[in-house]
Amino acid sequence: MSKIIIVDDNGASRDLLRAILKTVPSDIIEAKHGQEALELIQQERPDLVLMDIDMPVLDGLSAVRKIRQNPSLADLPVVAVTSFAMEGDREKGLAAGFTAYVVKPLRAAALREQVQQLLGRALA
Amino acid sequence: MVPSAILNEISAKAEIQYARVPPMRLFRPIEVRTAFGIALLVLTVAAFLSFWNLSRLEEAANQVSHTHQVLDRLDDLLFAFRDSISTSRGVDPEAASLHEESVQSMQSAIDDVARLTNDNPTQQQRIAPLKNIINQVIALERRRLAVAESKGSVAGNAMYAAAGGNRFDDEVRQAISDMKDGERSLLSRRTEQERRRTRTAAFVLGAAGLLGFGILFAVYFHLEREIGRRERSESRLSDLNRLYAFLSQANQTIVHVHSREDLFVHICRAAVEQGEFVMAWIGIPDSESGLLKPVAWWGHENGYLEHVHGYIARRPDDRGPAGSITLPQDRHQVFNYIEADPNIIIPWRDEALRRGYHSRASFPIKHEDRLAGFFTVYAGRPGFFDDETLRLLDEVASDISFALHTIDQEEQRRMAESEVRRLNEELEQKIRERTAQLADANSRLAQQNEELTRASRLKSEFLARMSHEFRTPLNSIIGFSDLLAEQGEGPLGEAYTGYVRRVSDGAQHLLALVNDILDLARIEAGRTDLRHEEFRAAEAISEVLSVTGPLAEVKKITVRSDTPPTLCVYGDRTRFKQILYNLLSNAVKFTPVGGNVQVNAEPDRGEVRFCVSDTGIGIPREDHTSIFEEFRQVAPATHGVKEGAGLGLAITKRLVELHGGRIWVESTPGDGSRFFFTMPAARSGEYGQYGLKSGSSSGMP
Repeated sequence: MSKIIIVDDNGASRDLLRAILKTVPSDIIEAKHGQEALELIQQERPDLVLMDIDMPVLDGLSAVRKIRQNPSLADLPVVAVTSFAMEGDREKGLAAGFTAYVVKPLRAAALREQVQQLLGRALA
Repeated sequence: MVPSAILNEISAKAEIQYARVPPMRLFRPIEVRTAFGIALLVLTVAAFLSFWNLSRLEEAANQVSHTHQVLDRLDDLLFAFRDSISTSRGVDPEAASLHEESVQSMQSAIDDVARLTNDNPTQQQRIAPLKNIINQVIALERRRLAVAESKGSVAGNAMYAAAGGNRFDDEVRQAISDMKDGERSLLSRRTEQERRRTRTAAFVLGAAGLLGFGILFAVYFHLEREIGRRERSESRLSDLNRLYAFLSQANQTIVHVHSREDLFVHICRAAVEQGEFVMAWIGIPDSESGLLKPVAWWGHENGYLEHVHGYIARRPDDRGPAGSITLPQDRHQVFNYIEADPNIIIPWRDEALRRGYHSRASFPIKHEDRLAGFFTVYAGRPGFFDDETLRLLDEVASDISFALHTIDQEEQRRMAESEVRRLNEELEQKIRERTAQLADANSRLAQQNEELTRASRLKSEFLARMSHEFRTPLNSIIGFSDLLAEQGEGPLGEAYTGYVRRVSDGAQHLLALVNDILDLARIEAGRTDLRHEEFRAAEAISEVLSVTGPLAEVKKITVRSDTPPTLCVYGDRTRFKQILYNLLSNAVKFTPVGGNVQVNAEPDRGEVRFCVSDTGIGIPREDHTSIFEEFRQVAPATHGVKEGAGLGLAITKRLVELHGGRIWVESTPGDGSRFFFTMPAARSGEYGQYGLKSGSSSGMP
């Protein structure tokens, strides 16, 4: 069973992700901000992280940079799931270390497909 | 500044004048040498004559002395003869020896006479008989002595008388007397001859002396005259040289000065320093009084100009006010002898002489054919001015006239220059003002620009924020709608399925609106970079049709494309598809069920013109422009169509224009619409290549 950490300060967003991924066999853990996510990642060693960017305490860009600073987490798939859709936002996110960049609003089928792809790659 | 050509002309003129100095009557040494030679010859001849005469006189004196010697010896002879006679009487006991002494004396005397007169044949002739007689006498006396000794003196005397002794006595006396007479006559002749010679010599000597002195005197006079002439020539030459120096200095002055005042003062100064005049001054006429007003002077003036009043004659007979000197207008005026000139008024003359002015000349200065003033110089020597000096000074005056003309021109040129400078300064001032205004405007613009930049940044921030804030709730709406539509948690009723679709459509519309706003903002901010490439129009069109196809199918609308397969466009393929998608989705949206939508493309003068036509409701003419503006939609209520962001056409227009193309619409309400837009055709080379590869020429321009 895959272990996925969902990081978002918005409860509805976390609920939506959990609902979309319900059909994907996985163990889903939630975090409300980047700092919490960093602790959970150390603790749980997930297969995939879906992380918002605009968050209190520690934002997504800072969090993914810290993740990439740890060599053992260099290959961990961390997907940005964010409302930042302006020009250059995607490039900024990928440069910070995100594996993929998904802009809200999410389309359930497309997200599901992407997650399964990343998990498949990670598991392979 | 006087041009150098004029300067050259002036100096050339001066050169010529130097060369024209009249040849001086020079002293000729050959005359004097000849005269001296003649005088010397005459005096030498005289000296020789004197020497010769003196030697002749000395010789004559010698001859006189010789004659006297002869006479003395003759007297001695006579004395000795008498002595011998008396001793021969034998009275004295020593008579015989005494007689011998007398005989010796006689013979000695007669020998001397013979020797002294050996150059005189007459006397020599006389000597021989005399000697003969004396010898007879001596012999007779010796016999007398012998008789006297033996027989007594009486017997001696008797024998002597008998032998005729007394007769011998007379003969001897007579002979000696004759000789003496002969000598005396000779002496008298010689003396007479010497006297004549002496007179002749004295006459010759006197005449030669007179002649020599005469010649020397003539030479002296000649020299005296020549020296005087030479002195006068040198003095004149010196005068002329000084005047030329003055003329030269005046000309240099003319070249360098820039004002009348400087010119006048420098000319006067040059007259005194180079021309060595005692004083020089320049006066200008007072137009009212006609009197000269001194404006510049140099030299020993010492208050003189207060005393003199020069009046300029207006007519030939115009005498001017009392106590003034009247000057003619058109020529120089000369007083060469101030002391003696009857035209000069007494007090003025005294003032002049007191300052050492002995002659004076005034020269009119002309300017623009009018009298501009008088230039006056005073010389320290009477009779200084002659034709030559006046001619030179006339030239100085005319050079001053020329200089006045030059200065005037210079003045006018300077005034013109200063006017130009003033205008320039005004212009510069205006430019400075304008520049200041511009700088002000610039700073205002910069401020406005800064405000605009700030506003633009705020707008961008606002848009980013809006985009972000809209997406968060849309995420829930769309996401959960997707899940509802999937019916993963159990089937929904038919009605709910419909509701969910409506929710999803509304959310999608809202999302499209947000995206459109961002897109438009990006285009307006000029942040849209086109990725130009060549592509086949037909292929891009068919890709768009595959997207719009499902919607058209729903409304039973036929969508067709009539585009030559080889027609190529040069532009951003994605944006081209966005343009076409906007137009096609509008066409489908506003076309009633069962209608037709057509896409055409054709080359048009380096461009490709596309047309999207429909059989929809049409657009009133007054809206043909405004539909391309933001948030404008043609009276939606009247058409029963409420959807449409109102941003699609605005974005489309901007995208077309970004490609350098145009977009317009032709439509009549109820009769459908035709939207046209143009795109650049593929560039010739690559286009042609492309066309050849396609193997078709259809649709090629």
